[in-house]
Amino acid sequence: MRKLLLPLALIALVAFPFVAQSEYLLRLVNIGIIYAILAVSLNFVMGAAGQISLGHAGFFGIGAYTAAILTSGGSGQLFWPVFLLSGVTAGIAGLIIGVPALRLKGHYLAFGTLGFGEIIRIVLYNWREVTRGTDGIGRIPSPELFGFEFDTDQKYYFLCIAALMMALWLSHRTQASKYGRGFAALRDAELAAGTTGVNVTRLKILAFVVSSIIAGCAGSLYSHLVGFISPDTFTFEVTAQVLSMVLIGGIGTTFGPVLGAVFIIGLPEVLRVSKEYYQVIYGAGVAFAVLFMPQGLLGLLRRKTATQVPSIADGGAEDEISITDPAIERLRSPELATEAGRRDRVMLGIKDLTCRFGGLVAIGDLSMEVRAGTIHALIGPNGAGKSTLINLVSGVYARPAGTMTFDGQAVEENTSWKLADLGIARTFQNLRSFSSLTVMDNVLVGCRSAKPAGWSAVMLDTAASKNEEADLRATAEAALRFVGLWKVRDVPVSALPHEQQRLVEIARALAMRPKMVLLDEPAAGMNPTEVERLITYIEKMKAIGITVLIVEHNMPFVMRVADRITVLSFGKKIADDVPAAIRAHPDVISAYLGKRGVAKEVQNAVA
Amino acid sequence: MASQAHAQAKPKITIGAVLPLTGVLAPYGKPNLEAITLAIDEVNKAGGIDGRELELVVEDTQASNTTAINALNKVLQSKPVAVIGPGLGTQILALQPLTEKAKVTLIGGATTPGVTQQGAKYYFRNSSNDAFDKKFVAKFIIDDLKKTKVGIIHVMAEWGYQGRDYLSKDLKEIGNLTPVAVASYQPTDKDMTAQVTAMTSAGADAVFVQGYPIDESLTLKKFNQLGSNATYLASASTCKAFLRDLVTASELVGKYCQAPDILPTLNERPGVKKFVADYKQKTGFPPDMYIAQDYDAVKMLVEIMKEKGVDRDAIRDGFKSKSYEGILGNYKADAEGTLWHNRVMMRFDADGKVTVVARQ
Amino acid sequence: MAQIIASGVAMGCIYALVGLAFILIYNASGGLNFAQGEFVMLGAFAFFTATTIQLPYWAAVVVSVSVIGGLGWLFQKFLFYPLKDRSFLYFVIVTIGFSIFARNLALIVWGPNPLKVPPLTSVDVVSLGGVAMSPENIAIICVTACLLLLQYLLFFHTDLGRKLRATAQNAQTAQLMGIYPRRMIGITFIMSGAIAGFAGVLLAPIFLIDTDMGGAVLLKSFIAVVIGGFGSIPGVVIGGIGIGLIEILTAVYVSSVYKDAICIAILIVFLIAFPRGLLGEAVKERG
Repeated sequence: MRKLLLPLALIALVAFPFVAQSEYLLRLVNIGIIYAILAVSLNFVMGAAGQISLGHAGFFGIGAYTAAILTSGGSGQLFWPVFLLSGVTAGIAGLIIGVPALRLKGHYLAFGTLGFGEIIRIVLYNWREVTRGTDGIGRIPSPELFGFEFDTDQKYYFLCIAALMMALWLSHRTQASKYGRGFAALRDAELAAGTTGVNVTRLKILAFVVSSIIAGCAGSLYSHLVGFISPDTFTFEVTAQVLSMVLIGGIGTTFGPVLGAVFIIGLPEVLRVSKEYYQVIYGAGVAFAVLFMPQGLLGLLRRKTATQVPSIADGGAEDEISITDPAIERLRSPELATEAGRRDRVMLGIKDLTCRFGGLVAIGDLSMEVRAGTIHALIGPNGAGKSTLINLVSGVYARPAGTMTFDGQAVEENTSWKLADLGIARTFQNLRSFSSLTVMDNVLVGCRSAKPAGWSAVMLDTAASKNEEADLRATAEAALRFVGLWKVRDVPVSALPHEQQRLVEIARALAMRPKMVLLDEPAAGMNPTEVERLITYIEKMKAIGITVLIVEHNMPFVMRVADRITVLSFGKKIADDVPAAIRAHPDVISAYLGKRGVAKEVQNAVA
Repeated sequence: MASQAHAQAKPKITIGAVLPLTGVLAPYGKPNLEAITLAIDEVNKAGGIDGRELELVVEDTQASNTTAINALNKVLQSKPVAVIGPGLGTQILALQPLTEKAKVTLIGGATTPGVTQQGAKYYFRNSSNDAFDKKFVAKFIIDDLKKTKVGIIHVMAEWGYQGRDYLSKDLKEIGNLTPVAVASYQPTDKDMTAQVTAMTSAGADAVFVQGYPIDESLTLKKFNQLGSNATYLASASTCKAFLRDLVTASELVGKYCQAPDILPTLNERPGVKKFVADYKQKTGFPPDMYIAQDYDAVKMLVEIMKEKGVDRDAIRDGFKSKSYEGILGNYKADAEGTLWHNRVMMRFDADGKVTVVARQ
Repeated sequence: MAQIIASGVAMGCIYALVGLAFILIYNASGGLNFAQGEFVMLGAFAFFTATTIQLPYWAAVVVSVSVIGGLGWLFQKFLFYPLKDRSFLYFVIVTIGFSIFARNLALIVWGPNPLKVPPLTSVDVVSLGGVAMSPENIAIICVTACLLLLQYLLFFHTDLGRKLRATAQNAQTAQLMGIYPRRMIGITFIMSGAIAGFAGVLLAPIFLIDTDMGGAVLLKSFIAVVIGGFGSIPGVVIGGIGIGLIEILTAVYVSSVYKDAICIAILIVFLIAFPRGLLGEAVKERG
């Protein structure tokens, strides 16, 4: 049945313009398809990358005007080169927007892009020498190819459908590939995406540029279809329409925006029977569609399947790999592969590191060392600066003053993904999983191949791209087996219990083949059995040569696993020694709880 | 009874109308539709054309050219003999390519000169051409008012820009004058202090305003409020505004307004009086001259069909050659397709009276 | 010159009021209300209807402001509340849908012709220390000042104000303290509606009332919100008056064609270079 569905759909698509006799209906369908392309492009930015654009009418307008200005009164053969050029000009605008947009988030980005759209509209209205103002530009020719003119809506339909197919295919390939996982990571947890090695800056700009190129091409299609354009076509209303298409159809899905376009373009036509009230009903209809279809139209059509989470109550032991398994090499940084690579040296060196928040000194002139292949713990009372330190080392915060060396090299980089590339991986105190992805995909975000396939290879799904994907999956499998989560690989990560989500973060970190892993309160919220299991994994990490830096409040746990402990208080280092010495350190005891009376409790606690 | 039954048996004649009925431009479409239906009802009551009833197919253009194009496409599905369009330059420009392709006559009262300069063969303007209107205004300012320092305030739409350009050109040609100040505003702007101040500070002794009814009324209020003593002249939009109570007679005292014809409410021609009464009864509002011109357009179309039949090309040829006496006056196409060639300059006086001070 | 500044300040006060209505909702609930302009428009139409049924001026003001305040509550109950746990974009789309609905409903109810209300007084111009000002402009400035003072008293000198502020800062903690956040959000929407409605009432005599009047004001109010610092009440007042002045001074001395573009350029410069605005707290991330 499913097999039949695709050819049937194709036949229906091809037959439609011959069956539909009404020019009006065909025109409506063509405009609907162009809006669908626009919705797919917006979905690229919003659904895939989680960025907001309220200026999409601007990109659409730039594409449309590029085509109109260059071809008005000219030959239909100009369509082809100008179609591409429309994409390019809009893409350049996307780049110009994308770069400053990096600094804006949420509402700010919404307002910034809204302003961009308005500026484009004002320019279209008032730069009369080029755009001819409100009069608009007419005599835009129908596209022509080897003497064949796409001069009716019936013929134009195939051009629109072809463009929509290309846009959908681009969107589908992106979402199914490593780029899609990167986008999802960016959308779900931007900080964690960065520390997992996703180049957040590049992906955000890529999203804006690809999206605006598609929108620009849609604009060119619109110009040549209608033959006349004027600035009133490119107002915020278009952006709002396209935005509602994406939200009503189903954000982040491949076909949702297309369904949304059918709904938004079709609804007023259905309502036109009521001349007076159709706009009123339309406005209400848009609101109701959002209110009562939380998953969008696509969600409504999809059957709801309850997620079965396979039980791994036994700890998934039978799936776990030991450190002697050859697959372990997939997790070990090549530099740690030899005994020489694992020999004792300073892995992380920090000198005179300072970090202030306003007037508050979170870290003051801190110097410390973490030796390679050890488990190093960082403890201290709340507000001591432990998490700040982890954030500085992993690039979540920029380092304002002080130097840092990693494995003997001075570290200049400040962005989290560049530090990740050096071999620093981390987990988070508050879970930062990529909640819309499966366990497997979460871990795959961290995987890097030695032979990465380029953008075009991935889009075309070439052999090189397939090989890379297989390679990445093998690495992810090793990481999941390392922490005993192989059984739940296909479960959405958000369906897992808390402890297992923590382990997913650890697997994600291991998949990066790091030299050092930073664990920010890994045992928080775990019961004793779970902590035991965690300890075995941390010891396994040490056994394969990975340096581990732990921030933790659970003292018995720290005392058991740590080779060395650094104690922070109010941003200063007050002690740095082996666990036995720390336990007896008077400064630590007084700093930790402040009062002498409770010092005994501490001793009991840490004993 | 028998003749009516007979009339219904014959196929109806479809006339299309695409007008802004919702959205911000609705004031430029909805009141016109009332006049069009009024005319069609009258024709049908009188037995239709050769026993065939008229049927109006209406679609909404909203404030968008895209929607306007869709609306026209939809109207064309029902094979109208001719289409009445909006009195808005940009929408007419958007519609023209389609009506040219379908070879169907499009009639609309857009005065913006550009709409008849695109070589359209099937478009007729049932109002005046603003290019000639502005020449008339320039002459009046120079010859009758004897003013030399002219300021122009205009809306940033093609209607405003072209008005500014033609008036500047004609001032130059007729009196070798250059405007002392030009200020413009967005159609959505509401505070005209800056624009009016620009006129005063440039020392303008006459100010011409070309915009839409709402913004022209706001400009007038601001002009009075700031106590400018320059002579105030405005496009027909101010007449529209007066008829819709947006400005009062007292605010208009001593102000001039240029329009294709005098206010229909003041028109003594019997046809107009009857139309104004009928229209008021139907809608509660007095019609403006553009609304009356749309009424005339339908009646002219009916006359042409009575003479030449319902063939689309015959109708076009009819509009091209016929001289028609409507309720407002004579309509006859010139080379560009403009049907109406009269224009007046009115002055609003203290006792609520309106005087025609110049006529062409 | 003084005239120009007075005009700019008056328009700026309107931007500030609409911006204030906007950020009250934002502060309390994180929602962005793109239909804020329609509250202004409906306020003006309600005021028109109230004056046509021969209500005295003051009663017409009270009635229309109350009606729009009530609308704010309904808006909260039926359109905001069901979406409170979802991305802010869904609420944005719902408000855009509401805006289309409200504009076209107003078109049907009040007709396509713009309407006007009787002027505040029969005097055209009031001379104030040598500056000629229209009575409407004076009214706008005075009412804005009074509303802001009331806001201040309410927020900082009443128990309700403390609860409202607590909810705005952290709804969950507020709930633990025995404050019912939903009621506080409801009250905020009523206040926001009433303020926007009041802006409509103030604009009615100087603008003509049409369905587009709110949309024209909204974008400038957004700019005021960003300049002032997203969420800051004194900030939005400064931002509003600032943008009102910039707008009119640009129109007079630079270019009336590109004055809107210049205002938006200021918006973008602020977003990128000073995202905290003039008086904003640290940039909050929501949604």
